[in-house]
Amino acid sequence: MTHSTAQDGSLALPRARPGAPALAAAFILALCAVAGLAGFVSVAPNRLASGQPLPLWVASGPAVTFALVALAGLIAGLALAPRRPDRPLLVALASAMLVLGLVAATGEAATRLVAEGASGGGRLTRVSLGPAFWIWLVVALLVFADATGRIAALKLRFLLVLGLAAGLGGLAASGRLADLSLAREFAVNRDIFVEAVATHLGLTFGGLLLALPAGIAIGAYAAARGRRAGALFAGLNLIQTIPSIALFALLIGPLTALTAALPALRALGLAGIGAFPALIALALYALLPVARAVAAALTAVPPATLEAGRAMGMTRTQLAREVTLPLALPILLEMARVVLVQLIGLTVLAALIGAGGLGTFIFRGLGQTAADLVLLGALATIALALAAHLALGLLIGLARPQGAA
Amino acid sequence: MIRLDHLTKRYGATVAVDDVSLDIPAGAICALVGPSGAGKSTLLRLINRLIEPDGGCVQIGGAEAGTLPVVALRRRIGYVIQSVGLFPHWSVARNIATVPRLLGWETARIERRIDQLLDLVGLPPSLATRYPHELSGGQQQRVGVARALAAEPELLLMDEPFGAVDPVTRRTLQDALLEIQARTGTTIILVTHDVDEAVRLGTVIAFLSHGRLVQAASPAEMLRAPASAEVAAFFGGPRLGLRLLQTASAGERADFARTIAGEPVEAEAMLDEVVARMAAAGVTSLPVKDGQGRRGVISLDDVVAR
Repeated sequence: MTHSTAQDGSLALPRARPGAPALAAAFILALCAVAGLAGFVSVAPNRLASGQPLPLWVASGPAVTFALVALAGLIAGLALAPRRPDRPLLVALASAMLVLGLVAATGEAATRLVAEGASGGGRLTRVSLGPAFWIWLVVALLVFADATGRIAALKLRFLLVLGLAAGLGGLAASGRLADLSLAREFAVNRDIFVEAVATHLGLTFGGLLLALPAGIAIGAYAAARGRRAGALFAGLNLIQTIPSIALFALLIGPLTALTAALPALRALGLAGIGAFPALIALALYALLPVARAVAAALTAVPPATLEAGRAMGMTRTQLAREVTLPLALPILLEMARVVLVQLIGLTVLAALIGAGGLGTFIFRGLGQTAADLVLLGALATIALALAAHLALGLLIGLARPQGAA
Repeated sequence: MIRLDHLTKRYGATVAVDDVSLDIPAGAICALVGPSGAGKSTLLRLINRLIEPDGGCVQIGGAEAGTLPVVALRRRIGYVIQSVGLFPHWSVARNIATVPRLLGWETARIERRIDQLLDLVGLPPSLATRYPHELSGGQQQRVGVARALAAEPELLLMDEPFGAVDPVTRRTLQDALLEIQARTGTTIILVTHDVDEAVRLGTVIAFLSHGRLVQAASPAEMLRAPASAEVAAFFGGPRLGLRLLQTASAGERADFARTIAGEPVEAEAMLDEVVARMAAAGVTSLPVKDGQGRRGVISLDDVVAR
């Protein structure tokens, strides 16, 4: 089941069994109750002091609380309502509104609390996001993902996701969120942040590009050899079992020795720490999934189909272009999606060996016990991974041959 | 005419095809039979050069196949396999159009040809836009035959084409193939492990064993005068007499000098069908009519005469 939802290019959870909507509704309501008691935002006089949690009705007032709870109730009601064809769309729209409403509410609360703090003489008042907000948000996003996954029309699905992303972007751009501590952290670090995103993407795609030639060659060899390629994959599996932090660290020694022995490499800007070992570690990690993807994609083409193509008088290039590639492409893209999402996450660790990227924020934040800095790096990483997941999902939807059942 | 001239193919120490020479006249249906591992499929694949021979050659219409560009050669030879091997990502029409497209035919000509072929293999035109996975096994095999015949090949190679379909569908497809062959006159070389299929479809049967050609003869001769004990065992057994009934038609045995009353059998009907009709009606003779409207009579004695 996870397999086919993944093919749909959605964020979908495993498809629900008949009793699931009622369970989902109960789940949502229970979480809302818990979330109602916990802190929605937390207010601290400065960056170092620990904050004081404020529940939603204190932070945002009864009107906003009522509106958000009503929206959550509407979603729960829809989940319980008799099955109707447009239910997924309605649930998706309502949960998207809930997400936007939650984020907007934190922004409003922050603006008001900061203003109150300023009038009280505290110029460094910080308003950060509390556990209740995160619980609400995660539940709302899960419901949204599940609902969009049930919408059959690929275009509509992507419109909804793009709409939500645009809504969040619009809220951020409007300045309504500017008084949240997360936004302030971003404002202070804007230039470094943009650079970190660029470095992060560069490392991820660089690692993938490095892995592609070898991975494709190994995969094609394995597909041609069938079972006898087992030893090859065992070797690649071994690389995957090395803990990722260890692999990054392990490469520092040999690569330092290598660059010391070959000044030509040093002249190219390659060193034992920094981007060079990070790219190699990422490429090594990508190697197994890439090789497996290529082998799986190539062996998925039925041998009888290839023989028929040959017997019809197709040349090797015609056979590759018109038969093998179209039949293998959806599987390749599917695997590319997995590899890319995995690498985006792994690239965070590259910051540990001085390669930069979004990990810089996470580890700096951890060092300074600045949760907002950690959050900034983590949220951006998640956003990148989601964007890659969705973009490739769209490609997969377009590349899927019509005839493939 | 197709001439196999001292064809040999070795795999290591084993000889898959051992010095096979065989002439197949144009318009014939040649059934290659024999036990598993006899080299039937290997022999077939040597003809369109999916594998290259270690010795000997294939001549197609006087030209030596080995000297022709392999791609051009294969486009002149239709090929149908048991697992069909339709392109799953292409519609039925696109599948059928494979070779015409490779040959660079104009779109209008290809479309006309697709319509003709769907009609020829007995499929409704509405199937043209469907995909292979939406078809039944029998329909897929018909599309496979249509695809193989698309560019009017002079030779059609079939490797156990009806091996994977149920007996009823197989019978229908066999009838369809005979009708198609009668209309197109294409020479067919067919590999089968089914003796009845070989007897029913073949105008010539070639029996292979351990890569060697043991006997090549008409079905009737193969049944009556097997060249070895192995051939006799393969074609004989308790069903030998029933198979003999499949080798001659009512018209060949009927007496057209007189006739009797009743519903007549067609002169082209095979003797097994005549016996079936007799048994169903509880009679020992039946009226016969042929294509020119002549009427005659066939008796049980005529049927079992050798």
